[in-house]
Amino acid sequence: MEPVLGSATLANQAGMHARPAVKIAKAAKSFNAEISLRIDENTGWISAKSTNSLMKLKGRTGDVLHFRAQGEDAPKAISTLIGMVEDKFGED
Amino acid sequence: MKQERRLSASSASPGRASAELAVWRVCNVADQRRDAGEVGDELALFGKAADDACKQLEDLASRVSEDAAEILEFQIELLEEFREETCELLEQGLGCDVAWSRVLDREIASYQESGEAFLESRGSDLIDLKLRVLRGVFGVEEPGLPQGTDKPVVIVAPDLSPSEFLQLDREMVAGLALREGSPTSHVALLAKARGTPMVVGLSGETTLLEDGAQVLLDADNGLVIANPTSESLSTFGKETRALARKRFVAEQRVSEPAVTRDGEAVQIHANIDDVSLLCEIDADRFDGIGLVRTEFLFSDNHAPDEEEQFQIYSRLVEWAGGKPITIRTLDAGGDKPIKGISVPAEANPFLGLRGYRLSRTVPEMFGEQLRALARVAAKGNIKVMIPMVTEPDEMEEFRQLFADTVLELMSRDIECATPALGMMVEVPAAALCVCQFDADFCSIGSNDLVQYATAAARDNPQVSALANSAHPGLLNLIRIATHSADLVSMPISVCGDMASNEAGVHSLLKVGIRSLSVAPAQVSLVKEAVREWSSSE
Repeated sequence: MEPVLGSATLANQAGMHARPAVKIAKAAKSFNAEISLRIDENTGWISAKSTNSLMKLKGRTGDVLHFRAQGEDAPKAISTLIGMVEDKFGED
Repeated sequence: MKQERRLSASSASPGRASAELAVWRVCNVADQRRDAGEVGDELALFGKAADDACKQLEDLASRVSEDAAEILEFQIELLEEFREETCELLEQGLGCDVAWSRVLDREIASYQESGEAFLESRGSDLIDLKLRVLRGVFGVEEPGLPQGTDKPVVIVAPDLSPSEFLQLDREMVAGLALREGSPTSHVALLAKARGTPMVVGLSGETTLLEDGAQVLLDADNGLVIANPTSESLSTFGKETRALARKRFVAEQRVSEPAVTRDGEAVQIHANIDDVSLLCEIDADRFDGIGLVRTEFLFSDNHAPDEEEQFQIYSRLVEWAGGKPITIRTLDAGGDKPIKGISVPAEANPFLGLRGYRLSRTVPEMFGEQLRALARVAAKGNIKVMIPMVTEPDEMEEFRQLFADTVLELMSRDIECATPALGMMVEVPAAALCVCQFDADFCSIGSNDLVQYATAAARDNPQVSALANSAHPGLLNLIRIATHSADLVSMPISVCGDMASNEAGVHSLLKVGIRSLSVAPAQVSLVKEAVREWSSSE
């Protein structure tokens, strides 16, 4: 199965801090698909299901998050996560 | 019969207590080690410790504000993630204390050394989490009061954080004796607001103090007597009863106005440092709130935004029911550093970037506060003052800043108003020419003015006796400030400890002050002190 790709710009004021990290990880864990993301195209992928890895991504406002998901529910997972980022995690 | 021990300390919140002693539990599980058992046993022990930690966190999260709950949820998520890795180490034969510490120590270091403020500040959550699980592994008590404490005790502790103090059941706290701490700390202010006797800098053989020992705490004079002789007990009891009678009489008419023997009314306002105490304080006793210290909304890891501040200030408005509320803008720096915004190291922090001087350098954070204040000014009788003003230009600049804030909010169609804008008088040079400032009102911050006028710090035991609020030079300074304010009909008041003790109240009335703001628990005695005073004295 081909992986599903998607990207969104981190636009909330605080960037990827604890609250958004918890939100993304929780949402990602609700899907069966393998979901990973990265900021820079030259860095490795990290699991979107790990709050700890998301924190260490050090995502700043304006960074583009690239998502990749593989599995039955991958399209739904990508659209959900992209939606959360675009909605600024309900912040601001 | 155990020997009586007298230990000296500095007064941080007045009052007296005679009770049993309780030693505050500070458990140091981080350094404990145990021998590892069979793999299966280690997995079971760790599983239980982790489950218990998770339950504790969920339980805590259900009892705190939404923001605090989100941080706890963050800890719960990380607990689950680090659990897997720890179990892998357990399978290799490591003990669960060693395995869990290894995983967490690595993560704590990577957060703390990340060079990113937001990750560094979360390091303390990881430390919390590490210790919570380790306590489960070693089966040790939560830090705090001994379990099963069921009557009021005098707590002996190294130091207490504001949150530790607020979480205490106030019925169980007869008094506090801290080995470290400062009389100007947030905890000291909270203790004053609640009327909990408290001393700091307790010195001597404190390690000999044991749970259950009889102890006498005289926080007015900075004295702790453990295992008192019957003679000490009886003297202490007599003094305490005399004071209690005086307070009882004062409490009978606490809600009546404070009028001097000459028939002059004196305004008595409350100092409010923490809105969480509002529910314990009766608004009828006060003519308003004379000082809200907003720096205590800002903890190490949290800076409340405009909306959160607006909500907090709105609670004050509700409490005051139309009476005036004077809110002081953030007074960080000096002895109250706030992570992320305070300047890291100055040779003389008290003479450096603090109060308004600091706020104007962090326009983003200050803007959040000014917008919240302008919004709440549309809802209640709000006055706003800035701390550490030295030059008249600073007051003008602040007026302009506030006007810009109001304009910005109006242009966005947000309800707001311009409150009365005033200043704190803490800098002696400003006290000498109050009339030259374009302020709608002013308030003398006696704690800082005393320190600056006597060039002696209150939290340095070597010189604190020199920081004497009865110094005739200081009283002259306040007299001049009062006259100067009168020249331009600028209302002037005094907040700070000087307004909260009898001798101080009489001195202030004598130099012309007719408005005071006091620690809530002291209001009845302060009003009595006013009633006893006449100008012919």
